[in-house]
Amino acid sequence: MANQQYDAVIVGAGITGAMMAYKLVDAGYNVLVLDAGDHVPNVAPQHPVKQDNINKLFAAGIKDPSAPWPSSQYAPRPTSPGVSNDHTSIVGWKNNETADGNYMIQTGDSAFGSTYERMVGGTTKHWLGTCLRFLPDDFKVVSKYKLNTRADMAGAIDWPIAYSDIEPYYSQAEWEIGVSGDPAVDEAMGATHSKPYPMVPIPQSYLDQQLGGRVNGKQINGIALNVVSTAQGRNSKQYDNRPACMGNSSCVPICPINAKYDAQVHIEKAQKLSGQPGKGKLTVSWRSVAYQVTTAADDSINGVKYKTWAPGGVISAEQTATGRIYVIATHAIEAPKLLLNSPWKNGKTVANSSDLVGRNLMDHICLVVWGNFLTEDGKDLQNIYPFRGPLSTSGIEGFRNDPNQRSKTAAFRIEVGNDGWTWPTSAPQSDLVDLVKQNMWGTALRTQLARQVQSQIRFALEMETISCDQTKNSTVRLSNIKDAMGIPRPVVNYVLPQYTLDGYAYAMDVANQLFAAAGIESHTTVDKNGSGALTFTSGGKQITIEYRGAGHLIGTHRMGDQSTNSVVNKELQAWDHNNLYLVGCGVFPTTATSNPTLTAAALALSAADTIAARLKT
Amino acid sequence: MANVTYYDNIKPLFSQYDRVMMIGRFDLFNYQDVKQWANKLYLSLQPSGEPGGWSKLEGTHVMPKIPGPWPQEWVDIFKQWIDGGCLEGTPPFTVPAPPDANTLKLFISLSEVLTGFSDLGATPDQQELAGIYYNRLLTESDSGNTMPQMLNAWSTISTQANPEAEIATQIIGTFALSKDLIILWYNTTTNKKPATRPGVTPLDYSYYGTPDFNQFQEGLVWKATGSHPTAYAPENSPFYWRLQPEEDGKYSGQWIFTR
Repeated sequence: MANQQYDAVIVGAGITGAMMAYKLVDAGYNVLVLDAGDHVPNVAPQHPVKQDNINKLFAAGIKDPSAPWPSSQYAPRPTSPGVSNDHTSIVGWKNNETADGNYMIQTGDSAFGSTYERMVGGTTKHWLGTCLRFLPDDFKVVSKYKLNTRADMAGAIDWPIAYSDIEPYYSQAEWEIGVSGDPAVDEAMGATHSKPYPMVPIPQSYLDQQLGGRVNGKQINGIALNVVSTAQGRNSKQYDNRPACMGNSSCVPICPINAKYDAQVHIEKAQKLSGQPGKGKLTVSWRSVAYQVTTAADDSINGVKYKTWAPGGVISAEQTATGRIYVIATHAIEAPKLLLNSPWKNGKTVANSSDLVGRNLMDHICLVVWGNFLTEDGKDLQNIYPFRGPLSTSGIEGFRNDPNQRSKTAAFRIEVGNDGWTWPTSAPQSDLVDLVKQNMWGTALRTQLARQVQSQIRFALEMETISCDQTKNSTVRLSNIKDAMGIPRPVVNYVLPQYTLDGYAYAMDVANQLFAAAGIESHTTVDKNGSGALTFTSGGKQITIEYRGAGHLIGTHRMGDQSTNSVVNKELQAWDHNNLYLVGCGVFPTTATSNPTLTAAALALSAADTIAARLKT
Repeated sequence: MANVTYYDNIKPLFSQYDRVMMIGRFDLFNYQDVKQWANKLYLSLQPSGEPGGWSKLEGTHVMPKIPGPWPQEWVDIFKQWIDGGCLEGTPPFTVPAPPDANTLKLFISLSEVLTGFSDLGATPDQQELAGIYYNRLLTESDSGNTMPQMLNAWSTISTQANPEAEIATQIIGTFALSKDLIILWYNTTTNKKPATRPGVTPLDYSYYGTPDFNQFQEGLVWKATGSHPTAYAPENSPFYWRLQPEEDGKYSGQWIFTR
């Protein structure tokens, strides 16, 4: 393998790397995919492995997104802030590089609350599956709302592409993933479809319907409240040889029946194509940790250095993969980690003439609010039966592009959860323990548990962030401390800009009004010692919040129209190296309010077309 | 392959999806069930050769329908297992010896009163689970060895007509183990702590016991709340979550239509 020259070398077998590999093999090119982690196949021959993962989840004390998945010291991944690697215990998350679970070292005042997997399939192994398109305004939010005229938003840039550029690739991504959705929901917000979704929507939950019955048609600050179905990468019928969703209610962290898409689907599709007449060849090498990209005298990339590992601790000698085109598809933490570990010239590292690699780390911080649904007269709890169905089947989308608000504060979307208070409180098990500690037992216990759990509802208001000078110090850097492969570990210093924090304060007001409109009794609490606890001033008032991560790792190698203010151009090609492409959510200059995966996939499919056209010549 | 056994070679061929699709008839994760149905299963794995996707088992499509037929080598292994006499092999979880019948009966009746579920010992499987929980409490929770005293107290109280006040004071108010018992039945967890290490604070009631036995799926917390265990919803009413759960458990996610 080491001596073979590939058409394309792709680092990372997550959704962007896997889809690009599939497209390039389909176009007739020979592709090598390196992935640091292990391989847990989805389909028939490997069912036992998958069942092991489900069993691992059943047994885990803290069922965070990483709970079912393998982790090796040779391809370590972070657990949620404060969660030990074995999911039994709490550990300090801040400046605590020795505690297990803290592979990603954190130095910020408050935590970056999102995590990732390192394995074939990447973080789609534990994603929720939400597949929202961006809205047309999202690509030009900075200019449209004149944010670049605000002092606190200096350095903010629009996307170098428009909705119309990416639209065909949204459709392509939706058909590749297998998205169930209602195009009318998108089109009402201006996001037109050239092609319908491949599947009708996943039905809204009973809970969604009860909530909609209360709030549909009501308004908050001029924005209509409509509980609409969410487009999701989850089958509503048999599709791509995977079954329809059966409502196992565990999308994060594992779909036990593969009704939810994960990127291994495209690795396997590419493997099937490989070597067919007219197609290229795919080589997937897992347990292969890339740690350095090397450059030639003409500044082109001429190799990716990597080492392989085996479970027993056997680490290979250094190997070099070579190709005509190189793609880094390792998302917003591991991509800068790899690039910053790759010396270039004049004291710079690869792709970093702008000094923006590893800067502008973003997420959608979530305002999570929860309460009990009340009867119409507000005098009693009303059952809405959570803990059934996909973890979210609906949202309230009107705040994603409020023209009266977006020039002032960040926009947000409102996700409606079907999982009761699991996210903030570990319900329903925590409710039971609390009641037992209050000396309840017998039928009174059973009745009370049912009452308080069956009326639980939870929302996440997911905040937009726009990269600007204020996010430049929201960084991924290299630590002096190395992992078991001898590779420097990532250090994250997470910083939130004022525009996002002001949006959070506004969202708190909207959440209160939403609870009043819906007849929900709030039980939301703020833990001032929580990993997302943060105190700031907004509108002259000091506020203490506790945000949570959405699992969206965004920024750190943003795209733009100038080499001085961005790392890649609109084709995702590094400004500094003409045969290097950086893909994934790391290229986003703004997060918008949509869960980012569909957009990352669409951009990757577009980049695959660009690369295929180049390889032809 | 020599000595093909259920636990080593056959059970790993089935997925949770396969199990859920068939659970109204039999349980593919249960040795006795698969042994009993082995010949029909074998026929259903093979195409009949007729058009339409039919298997050699009359009126049945080739199994599994999703993600598609088994590779031939799997079918061959299944055949070898049948030819070898459907050996069981070693289960990944060894059921501990239950207490004597009287003690188990007391334990179950106390469990029923404390949990508010009146049918915890109705079937042999449930009695086996009760025996497992009895043993788990002894080894994971009862360092003070209070189980005999608690059951003794219950034995006296249980004969009374209206024992509520006595249960509150003499069981709940006296034996911390009684609360662990309720939490175990509902959440399938105990307060057993992992090995301590510096800088790490173990959580309360996070120990789930043995996953191989799928105790997580037995938790009463799901039944009490009209829902189903996370990552295990054997109900096949399409999109059940759009509907309100019914009294008998239909649309909870774990209502199984028995054919």
